[in-house]
This record gives sequence, C-alpha cells and structure tokens, in this order.
Amino acid sequence: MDCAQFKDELHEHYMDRLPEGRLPALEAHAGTCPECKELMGMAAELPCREFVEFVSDYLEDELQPDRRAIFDRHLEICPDCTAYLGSYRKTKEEAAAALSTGPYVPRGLPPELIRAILEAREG
Amino acid sequence: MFAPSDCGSQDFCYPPLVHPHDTGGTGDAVLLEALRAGEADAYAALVERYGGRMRCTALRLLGSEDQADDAVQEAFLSAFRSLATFAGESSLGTWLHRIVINAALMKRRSESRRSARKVDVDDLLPRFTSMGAFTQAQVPWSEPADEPAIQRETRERVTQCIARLPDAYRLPLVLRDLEGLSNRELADQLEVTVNAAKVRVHRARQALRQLLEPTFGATP
Repeated sequence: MDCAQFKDELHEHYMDRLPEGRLPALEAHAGTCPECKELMGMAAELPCREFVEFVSDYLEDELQPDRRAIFDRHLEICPDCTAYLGSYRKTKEEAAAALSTGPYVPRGLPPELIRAILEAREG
Repeated sequence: MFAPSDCGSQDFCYPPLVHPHDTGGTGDAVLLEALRAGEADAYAALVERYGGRMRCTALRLLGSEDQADDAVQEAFLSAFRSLATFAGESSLGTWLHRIVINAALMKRRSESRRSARKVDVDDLLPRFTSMGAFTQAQVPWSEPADEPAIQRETRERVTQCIARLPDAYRLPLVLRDLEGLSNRELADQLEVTVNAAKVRVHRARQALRQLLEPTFGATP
C-alpha cells in the first residue's frame, strides 16, 4: 500500500465504508510511515462533526495554532470537510453579495421620507 | 449657518458612509456642532447623509420597504432626541447604525408572527455517523456563471433562501455577516452570551448553506 492508497482507504474507514479485513493493512502501512501514522491519529482526533462545529472559528482564524494544524491535517484527508468548508465560505460570500446589490445599494432617501422625518421632528 | 444645499448636489456635498464603523471625520464634527446649535438645515443634512445606508440596514433586517422607511423614521427621531447625550465616542455613522438596528429589531419584535413559511433549522444541519463522519458525501460547489442575468437570478434565489430562515437565525446572520457587528456586539444586541451568539450565526449559515445546495452544489 502506498500513501495515496492509504489516504483513500483511511477516508473509507472513517466513513464506515472500509471493506472488512482491510483495517490491518491500513495499520500495517501506518506502522511503516510516520506521516500516515500521524494522519491516522489526526483522523481519530478530529471527527468531521467537530470540524463542522468549529468551521466558523477556522475560517475566522480564531483557532489556536496547534488546533488549526489539526484542522489543516484533517482537510488533507477529508474531501467531505474540504467541500463543506468551501461551500460554507461560499454561503457567506453569496449572502453578502445578494444583500449588497439591487435594493440594498445605498441611495438617497426618497424626498417624501426626508420630509416626513423633518416634519415629525418639528411636530 | 450650516448650508446643506451650497454644493448643489447632495451626492457631492455629503459623502456616503464607507462602512458602518467608519471614523467620521471633520465633516461629522461640523455637522454635530450645527445640530447641537439647533440649525434646521443640519438636521436635513444628517438625514440626507446617513439615511440611505440606514435604510439599507433596515431593509435587510425587515425585508419590506414600507417597514424599513418606518424604522428609519423612528431611528432618526430617536437620534434627534438623543443628540444631547451623544458623547462622540463613535462616529455619527456608527451611532446611527446602532440606532437603526435597534429600531428595526423593535419593529420586528412588536409584529405578530408572519404567515410566510419558515424552515426548521434543525432539519438543515448536517448529519453524522456514530464515528462523526458525514452520512452523505459532500459535493464541491461550482462557481456561479459570470453572465449578469444569471448572477441576478442567483442573487434573487439567495435572497429568497435567506428570507426563509426564521428570524431567530436570519437576524443574527444579517447583523454579523452584512452589518459587520462583532460577536460581542451581536451578543449584546441579542442579550445572550458571546458563545450563544456565535452558535446562532453558525447554525444560520449552515442552514442557508443547505438551502443553497441545489443552486451551487449540483453536479454539472
């Protein structure tokens, strides 16, 4: 097993989809490759559920550096969280764009509203 | 005397707010002095300078132009009454921004519940396996097309999806991501802890993300 295959199968394992009997091969590769061993540890350390729970802190750079490193490593092995992160970021961008165009572009107030405000003040 | 019409065009006389948290500047100082001296023209200038952006904020929070206009009017009247106590610690723009947010939220709270169908946010949150992995594969989103007509249509769809969120989530989303409130300011506004405010915004974004999935997540 090479490292690329390890990453693929680690993801399947994480998704509960690894065929029975494949786990020992994963563990055997991790035993020979320190980087993959670390990835395996990271995967266990940070489930997708937790990544998603703190994705906002990740995007807004509010995580401690060591915690952020764990998130970064998780992204390396998890296409789901990579896609989720991208779509979460895009959601923020699209919401901001949608509510900043058309009727949401600042214009002067209608003259009748200005008049009403000033008359109400005097009245 | 403060003369708002000296320049001919209000667009040139009164530069718009660049950001709700702008720092004001000498224009504000002159205007404030004239307001405190009770010059009628200064009130008109204040309304003309800041009214447009305040109306955008109210419109984002209330979704209706009529209600936004009411909120802006109430906000200005409230501001006029409070001018004497305005300490000048923030810019006039920031101060008015807070006031119009308060006016819009009060208006929202005083309304009876709207009949428009809202989504249940809990139904839109991601699901996970017992090991904490996604139960469904996540699809990378595509970039929206560049054509203006498609962009308009997309933004209209996004606006409709935002409107489907319950107020308890839509308002924090708008205040945090559009109106630029910090987590602390949002927490104060919602009268909850900072962490609770962050969770509310996060869940709102997650729910909106799920509502937008058919628009951006579909495989080409």
